[in-house]
Amino acid sequence: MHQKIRIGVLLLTFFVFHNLTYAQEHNEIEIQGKVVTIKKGIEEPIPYVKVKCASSDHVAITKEDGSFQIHLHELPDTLMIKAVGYELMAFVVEQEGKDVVVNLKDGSMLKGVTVFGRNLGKHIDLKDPFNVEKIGQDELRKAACCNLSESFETNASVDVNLTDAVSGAKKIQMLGLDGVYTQLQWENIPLIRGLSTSYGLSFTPGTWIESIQITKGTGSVVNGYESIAGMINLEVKKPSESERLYVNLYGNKFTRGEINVHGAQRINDKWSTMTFLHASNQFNETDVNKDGFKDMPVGFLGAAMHRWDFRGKNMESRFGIKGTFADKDGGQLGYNSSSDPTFPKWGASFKTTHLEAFGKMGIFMKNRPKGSLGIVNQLKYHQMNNVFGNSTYSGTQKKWYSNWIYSDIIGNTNHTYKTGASFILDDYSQTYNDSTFLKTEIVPGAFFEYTYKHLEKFTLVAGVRADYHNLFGTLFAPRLHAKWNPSKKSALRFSVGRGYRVPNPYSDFNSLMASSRTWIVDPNIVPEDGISSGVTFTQKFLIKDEVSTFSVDYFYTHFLNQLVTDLDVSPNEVHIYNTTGTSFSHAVQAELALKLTKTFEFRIAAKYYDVKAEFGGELQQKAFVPKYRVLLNSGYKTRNKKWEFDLTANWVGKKRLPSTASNPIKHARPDESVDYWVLNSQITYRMKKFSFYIGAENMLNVIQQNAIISADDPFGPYFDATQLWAPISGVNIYAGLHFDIKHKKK
Amino acid sequence: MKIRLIMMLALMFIGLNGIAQDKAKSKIVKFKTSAICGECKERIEESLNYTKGIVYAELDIDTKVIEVKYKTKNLNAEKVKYLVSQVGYDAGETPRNEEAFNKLPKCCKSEGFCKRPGE
Repeated sequence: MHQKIRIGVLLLTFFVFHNLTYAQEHNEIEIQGKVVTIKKGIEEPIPYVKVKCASSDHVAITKEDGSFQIHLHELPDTLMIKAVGYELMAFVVEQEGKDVVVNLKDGSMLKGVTVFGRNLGKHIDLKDPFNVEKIGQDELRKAACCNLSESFETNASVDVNLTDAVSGAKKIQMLGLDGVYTQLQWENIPLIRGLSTSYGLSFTPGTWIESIQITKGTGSVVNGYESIAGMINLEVKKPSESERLYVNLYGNKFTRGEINVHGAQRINDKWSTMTFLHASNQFNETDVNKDGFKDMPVGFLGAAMHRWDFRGKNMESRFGIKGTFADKDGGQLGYNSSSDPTFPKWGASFKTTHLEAFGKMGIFMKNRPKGSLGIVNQLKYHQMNNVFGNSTYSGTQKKWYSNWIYSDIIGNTNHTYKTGASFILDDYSQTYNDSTFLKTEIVPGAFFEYTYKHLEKFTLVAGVRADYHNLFGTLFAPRLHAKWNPSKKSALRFSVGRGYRVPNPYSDFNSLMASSRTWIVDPNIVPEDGISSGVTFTQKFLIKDEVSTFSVDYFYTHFLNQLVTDLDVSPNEVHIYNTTGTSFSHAVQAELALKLTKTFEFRIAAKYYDVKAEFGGELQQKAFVPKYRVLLNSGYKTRNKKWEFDLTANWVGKKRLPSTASNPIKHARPDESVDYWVLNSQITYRMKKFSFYIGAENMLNVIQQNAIISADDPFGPYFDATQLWAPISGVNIYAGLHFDIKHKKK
Repeated sequence: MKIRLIMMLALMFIGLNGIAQDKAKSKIVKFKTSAICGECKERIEESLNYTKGIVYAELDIDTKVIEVKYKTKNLNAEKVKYLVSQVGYDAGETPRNEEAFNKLPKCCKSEGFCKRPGE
C-alpha cells in the first residue's frame, strides 16, 4: 500500500512537469553540431564550412574544431552543408538536445551521413574523458546465456566468479577487488545496491541489455559517492529503437531453460512503450562432481518490465515498472524447502521478490539554450528469505532514490558544468537466525562537476560531492579525471578519486552462510573509504584499413578504511570488521585487440593483480584473487554474415585460499589453488528473422574436486561450501534461437 | 576426453567453414551502386546475402562499390545487378526499381531526405 502511494506521487510529479514545459512556447531552437570527415576510421574536423538552414537565412561557419551552432525555427529542419572538395550535403535535424555530427565525404564520393552509435562489438572512445569501455550487441551475443553475470565473459576488465558451491550465483570483480566496490547502474539509475548486492546480477536478463559501459576507477560524482573500483552502466533496450517482437529461447544440458520475449510499440512521434518478459527454470538436479550436492539450485526466476518513453519538444521522459521473483532450492540432492523435517538434508533455499518503479526526465531550459535539468527517481522494494542448512536469513529493503542534475555552460561550450542534489532513503530490516537488525539510512547529498575542454585534445573533469549520512556523518568525495590526445589515434587518461560504501555484511557476504562458520560481526560497522587512481593509455592503429587497438592501464586503490571478511582466523569462523590497517590493490592490464581482416578478430589481454590487506597483524594476499589472468578471444564471421564463430579462453592463475590447516587432515585443503583454463565457444547461424546458436562452456571439463569441505557431514563443524576457486560442473552444451520482427524505418 | 572434444570442435569449425564458403564454381563481380548510408548498406547486403546463389555481398559505403561473390550455377553478373536494383538502388548500368526506391526510408533517398522550405 505504502508503495502504491509513492508511485502515485512520482507519476504526479511527472505530469505536473509535463504540463509546465508544455505551457512554454519556443521560437528558436539552438542546434549544436560538428562537421567532420571520417578517413580510415579516424574522425577529422572540417573548419570554416558554411552550414545553412534550409527554411531560413541563418548561416553558421564551423570553428577550428569543426563545431558550429545554429538557430532553427522548428524541427525537423534541414541543414545544407557545403565545403570545398566535398559534396553538398543535406542533413535533417529531427531532434533537439542531441549534438549533430555531419560526416562529409570527399568530392569523388557522394553525400552520406554517419549515424553514430553503430553496433560495434566492443570499443573504447578516444574522446571521452572517462576511460569507458563499451560492450555492444555484437559482443553481448557472443555469450548467449543468460543474465548480466555472463555478459562480461568476453571482457577483460570485469572478472566473474561463482560465489559458492550452493547458490549458483556469480559475482564480479574489478581491479582484483570484490564486486561490492563496483557501482552498478542502468541508465544512471542504481541497479544493484543494498540487499540485492549478493544475487542481483541474475535479475537482469542478458537479452534486455542494449549495451554496457565499463569505467575503471571512480566514476562521475553525479552518480553518487560509491564506485571505488569501477562503475558499470547498462543501457536497456529502448522502446523507440527496439524490435516489434523479439523472442529468445535457450536450453542447456543441465536442463536449464530460458525464454525471453519483448516487444516495442511506437504509439506516435512522442510516445513509445516496451514490455519485457523473462522466465528461466532449472528443471532437474545435477551433480557432476558427485559430492551429493546440486551444482545449481533447482527452481524458477521470473522477471518483467514495462517502460514508457516520451519525447517532447522541450522535455523527454522515461518511466516504468520492473519486478523480479525467484524461488530456488540448492543443497543436497533431494532437498527442497518443503521436504520432510524428520530426515534432515542440508539444503539452501533462496526466495526473492524485487519490485521497482522508476522515472527519469530531462527538461531543456527555455532561457538557457544549453541548460537542461535531469531528474531521476526510483522506488524499490526488495525482500529475500534465504535458508542455509540451519541458518536463516531474511531481509527487506525499501528505498527511495532521487537525483536532480542541472547542466549548463559557462560562457562557451569549452566550459560546462553539472550540479545538483540527491536524496537516498534506505530502510533495512534484516534477520539472521535470532538476531534482528534494523537500520534506516537517510542520505541527502550535493555535487558539482566542472568540465574544461581545450581543442578536443584535452579534457579535464573536476568533481566534488558531499553527502550527509544520518548514521555516519559527512562523506566527502572529490574526483578528478583528465584526458589528453597526443595524436589523433591515441589517448592518455588519468583519474583519481575518493569513494565510499556503506556495507550490509549479512547480505553482501550472504553466500558465506553456506558453511558451518560462525559469524562474528563487529557491531560498529562504519563506511568503507577508498582512494583510487589510475592511468590508461590507448593507441589505435590500422591493419589493412581495419582499426585495431592497444591499451594498457594501471590502477592503484588504497583503502583508508575497509570492511574485512577474515576467513583466516579459524576454519569455522568468519570475522567481519572494519580496519584502518593497510589494504591496497595494484592492477595492471594490457590488451591488444586486432582486427586482422574484415572477418577475423583476435583479442588478448593479460592482467596482474596485487591485492593485499593486513589482517591478523599480517599483510596477506587477498584470498580467491589470482595474481595473473589471461583472456583470449577470437571471432570469425563469414563475409555474408550468416555464420559466426567465437572462441574465448580464460586462464586463471593460482589463488591464495583461506587456511584450513587446523582441520583434521580429511577436511584440510591446500593453501593455494592450481591454475586452470576455461574455454568457451559459440557458433551462430543467422537467417533473415531467425538466428540459431549452439555453444559449449568449460570445454576442457575443469572441475574443482572435493569443492565442498565435509560434504558428507553438512551439519558437522567442518562443512564449508564457500572455498570455491574453479568451476564445479563440467562441460556445458547449450543451444537456442533468436527471432525478431523489426519495426519499419521511416 | 579433452582431446576428443577439441578435435570434434575443430572439425565442426572446419566443416561449417566449408559449407559457408563453397568455393566451387563461383565468380566475383564488382560494380558501383547508388547506396548512400549505413542503412542502405545493411539493406542491400541483407537482401543479397539471403538470396540463393550468393556466397557473400559486401558494400563499401565510402566508394559505394559492392563486391558480390555468386555461384555461376544459379546466377550471373546481370542477375546480381538486377537483385540490387530490386532493393531500390542503381546497380552499375542497371537502373533502380522505382517502386522499391519509394519504399526506402527517407535517410536512403537523397531527395526525400531534405525538408524543403515551405514544405
